Amino acid sequence: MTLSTHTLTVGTRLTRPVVTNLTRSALVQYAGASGDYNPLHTDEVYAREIAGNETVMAHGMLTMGLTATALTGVVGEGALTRYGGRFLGSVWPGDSLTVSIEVTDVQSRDDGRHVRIELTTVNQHGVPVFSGSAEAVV
Amino acid sequence: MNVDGVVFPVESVQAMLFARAVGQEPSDGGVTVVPPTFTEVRQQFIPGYAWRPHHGQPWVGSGASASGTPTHESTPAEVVLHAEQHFEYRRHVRVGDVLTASTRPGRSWEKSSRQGHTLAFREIVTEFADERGEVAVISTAVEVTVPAGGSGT
Repeated sequence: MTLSTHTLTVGTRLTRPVVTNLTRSALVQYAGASGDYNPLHTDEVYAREIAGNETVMAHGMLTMGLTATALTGVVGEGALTRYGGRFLGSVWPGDSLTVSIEVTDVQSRDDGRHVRIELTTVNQHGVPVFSGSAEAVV
Repeated sequence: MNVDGVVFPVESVQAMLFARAVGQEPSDGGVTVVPPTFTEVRQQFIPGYAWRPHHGQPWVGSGASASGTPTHESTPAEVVLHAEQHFEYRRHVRVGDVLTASTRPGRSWEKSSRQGHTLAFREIVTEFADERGEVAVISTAVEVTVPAGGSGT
């Protein structure tokens, strides 16, 4: 659900669910859609026996894409002018992610309200896995 | 992978599949404006892309054995991680666009990890231009090369 963008003012803080109980099939779904079939993300045998991980790990770009969907729900479709961040930790099947969003700047210009957002996506333990910023015209 | 001039059409089915994969549930009318990270689909159009299996060729992932390529059965000397990703949207990509992706190296730098290892960072900048040659999206990936035994922090 898109929030009324008029309510986005400096200091606005929101929390939005990103994904609940991430499944291995969701990783396969993202691999098929994006074209990144790296077996670290798609192949349990490889992930365990060759990479030495407990299981497959989510693509960082899946975390970023899921976070973008939550962000789009706040600023609206086609509103972003910038979006980026750092991958801070691994995301695994079974994880549930939440993004915290804070509006840090709003400028009214001829083409709309330019909103700057700082955001952090955390897992169910509160550990940050992605942190960055976005700019949107709303 | 640095590849220049990759052309890909933004098709409705691909947009729908990608939107679903990042948690959207497109309506019956499908997707009009593609999701913000959609340009990752470029990977589908890179000839011989390393992270896509190719029929008749060895694949790093498992089959009869845990890996189909012996080079991956030994511990790599270094690991390359996707550390950061940034997008600049000059206009939003829509179904029906035909994009041409051009990749070039960006900045590079080094810093020391907490463990005292040297971490080598490099930017990979990809511009996605539309049919008129106007850049719609600029994607900047930051990769970090971590030496054997190190971590990315």
